Amino acid sequence: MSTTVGEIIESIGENDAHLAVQRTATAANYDETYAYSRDNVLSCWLTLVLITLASAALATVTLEFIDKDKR
Amino acid sequence: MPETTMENMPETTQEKSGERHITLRYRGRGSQIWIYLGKFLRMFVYQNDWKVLPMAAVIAGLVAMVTRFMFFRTMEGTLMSAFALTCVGIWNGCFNSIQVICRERDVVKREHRAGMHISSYIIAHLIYQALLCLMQTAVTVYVMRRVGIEFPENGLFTRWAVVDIGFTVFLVTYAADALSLWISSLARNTTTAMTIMPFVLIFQLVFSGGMLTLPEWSKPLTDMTISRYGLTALAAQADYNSRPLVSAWSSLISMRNSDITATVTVGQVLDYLADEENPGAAELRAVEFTQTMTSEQVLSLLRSDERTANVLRTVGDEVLLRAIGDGPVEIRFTLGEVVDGMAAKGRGKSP
Amino acid sequence: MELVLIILFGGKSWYTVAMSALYIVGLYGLLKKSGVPGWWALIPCAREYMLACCAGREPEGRVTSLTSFFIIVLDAGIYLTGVYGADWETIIGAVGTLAVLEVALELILLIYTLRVCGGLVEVYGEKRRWLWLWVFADFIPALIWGWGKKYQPAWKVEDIRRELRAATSSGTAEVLEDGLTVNLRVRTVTEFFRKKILLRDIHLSIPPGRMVLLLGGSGAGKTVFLNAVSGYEKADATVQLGGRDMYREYKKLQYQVGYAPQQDTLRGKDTIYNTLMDAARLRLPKDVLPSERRDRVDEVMDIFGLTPSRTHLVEKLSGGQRKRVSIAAELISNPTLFILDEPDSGLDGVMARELMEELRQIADTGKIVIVITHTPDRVVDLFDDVIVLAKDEKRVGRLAFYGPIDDARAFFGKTSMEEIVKSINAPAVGGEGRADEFIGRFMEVQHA
Repeated sequence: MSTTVGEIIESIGENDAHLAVQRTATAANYDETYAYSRDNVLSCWLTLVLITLASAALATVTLEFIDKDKR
Repeated sequence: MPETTMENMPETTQEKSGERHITLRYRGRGSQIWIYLGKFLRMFVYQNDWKVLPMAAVIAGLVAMVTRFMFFRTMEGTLMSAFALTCVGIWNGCFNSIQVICRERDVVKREHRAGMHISSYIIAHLIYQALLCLMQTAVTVYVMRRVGIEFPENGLFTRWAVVDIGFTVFLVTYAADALSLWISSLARNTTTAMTIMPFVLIFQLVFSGGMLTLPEWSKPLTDMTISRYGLTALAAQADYNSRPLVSAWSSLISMRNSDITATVTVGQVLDYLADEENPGAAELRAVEFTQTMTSEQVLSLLRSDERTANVLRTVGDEVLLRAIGDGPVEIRFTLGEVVDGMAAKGRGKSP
Repeated sequence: MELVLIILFGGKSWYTVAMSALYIVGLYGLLKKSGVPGWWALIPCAREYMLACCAGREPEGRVTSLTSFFIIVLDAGIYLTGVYGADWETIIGAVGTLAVLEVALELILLIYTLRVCGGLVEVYGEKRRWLWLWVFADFIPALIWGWGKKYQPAWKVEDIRRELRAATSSGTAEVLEDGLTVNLRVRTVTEFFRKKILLRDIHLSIPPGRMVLLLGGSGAGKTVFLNAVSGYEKADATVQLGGRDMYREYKKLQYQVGYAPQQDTLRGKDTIYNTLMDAARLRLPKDVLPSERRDRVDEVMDIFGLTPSRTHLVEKLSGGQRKRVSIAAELISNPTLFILDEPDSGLDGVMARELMEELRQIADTGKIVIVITHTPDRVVDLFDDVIVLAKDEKRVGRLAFYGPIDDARAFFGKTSMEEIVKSINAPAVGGEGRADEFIGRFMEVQHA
């Protein structure tokens, strides 16, 4: 049996094929990491805040050693 | 009030016991924060720190022009745009503060010697940088809207998605800002700081986890990046999972003229057509065929099959001919009937 | 066990272990000859630093030591990846990455080792062709030089412990109720694996109202001394200001000390007025009223002639004006002890003189003013006393003289301060090299 992709699409119907492919591909690419939920976003926000605080603490500790700078 | 001169300025002398003790107190950490914050706010004007705002606008404009037809519309576009927006935030944040401490290291050392608390100095910087990041975020979001990016209507936390997304961009910018502040405190001079900066940026971009497929062992590194959490939050807020994935269809369309050759057996075709529940097969089964035959051809056809030949012998040719008539005979049948007949024949049953 | 061999000997093959062991034996002898405890040869990373010290290449030694440390870490990482790696792909990927890093570090180590070995060749007075052996088969020269009687170093590394145990001056300066009393026994610093003595045996008392010149050649320890006196860097010392222990009560007494550094460490993008006002807010007591604070700032600006340019940015000022702002910022808190490190550097003679005269007036109000300057003779008449620091033969900063200016001239037999500095400087820098003579003589005077 020999045909082209276009002919198969036409035999199914372009709109129907488009919807079917899109639906299937979208579902297959579902990623829990990017779930549209408050918990997900909140956990990211909290981590960013923790990174900020940790960096600030490290900056403070580092700068306390400024006395040790050589001339 | 006595005139203040060098002679009668209070000194921190503790007089001997039995006499009046004078204990002088100096500004604590809290007060020092405001002194330094005031200084940094003056720097905003005198040191031209305000330049970061038009720069943020330019960067936002460039990114928005590229992503405006993708963001919030498709899966791929949303992920790429979220990544781009995260990069904008990290870039702005890093360059806000990478030089602020190392360029005045000698001054900090001198003031520390004179009683400045390092924590007050850092907190003042953090407050000032927070204001700067807030302004940059506002500029970024405003420019993106003006260039044409259509933000969703409702947010997860507030009524406006633009506010939620803006808050995420602010947190990304601020986290990068704080990280750069630490690097600035480590570096002895601005040259060292600017040399370290590209490596920090590359690390953030490469290990963000959104754009490059990373090996399993790099997951701990990804979890340490600001970009990973920024990207995740932005993509989540943009409802990545409900956006359509368009690349699959685009790939298929681009192969429209590509040949497909397949080898199928008759049995596979018959099996497909025999499946009445398959909508495609059901459609095909319902296809009607019409065959026109003469009475002689009909008789010949009936005689060719043993079962119908027996019926003919019983009934007799003349009876059948009278029934058919002299004119051509139209026989209508569906593909499904043909398939069922062939299947029955295959099972040895009468059709 | 293999991991231990990698850490101690840099590899686990019998050949590597044998060569390293022979090198360690040779190094043991080398270190002992140079006055360094031989057991340092057994400690990875430290042995590289000690060898560099023996070669007079301490800075290179720090690099070789650190580089060796990271190479050991990488080797251990490669070994552990091979043992515990989950799959072949991960192992190859990780080992490849680590190996690339190790190659880079080995190149750095090679270059710095060459420098260290070059120094060693000089110290032992041998031909430079020995360098080839040091690079390619270091155990051979290590064994030969370490245990061969014919090979002796030209000098030995200082034995700090012996120095620290050495009899120090038992003199102490009289504690003044008002004024500054310094009894500094020793000031050391630990750099890498070695302790260094920077200053020793400095005992003096300075009454209030004195302007004191601090003299000394380059590297004599003037700034180290001032940092120890101001309490910023602690020494094994007792420093008392107005009868109070500077070290115990540093948090309170730090506002009594003004320190104007040599560089004008000021924020250029701020006005004079704001700079001084912030200094006043930081350094004056909390309960000083805002109006008093303003008055004080105005007063200090008046003293230094900064009032006309109060709204100018610091970066737009001339060198002399910036110096004045720097000094004014320290004077704001009315400190009892005022220390200035080369306040006249970069100023012409007239401006330098004017500045010193202002400092003289400050001293006349009952403050102690200590000044370092490299052009003392043009302003020496403004000073009451002079402290002369000098490096002795062991390169430790010592007190060569403290007392009135005229007494200093008589003591050193010189007419100018610059001639005094020249007499105590080492011959290598154009001096007379008489530091030890004056140090010893002054110690006798103090004990007398």
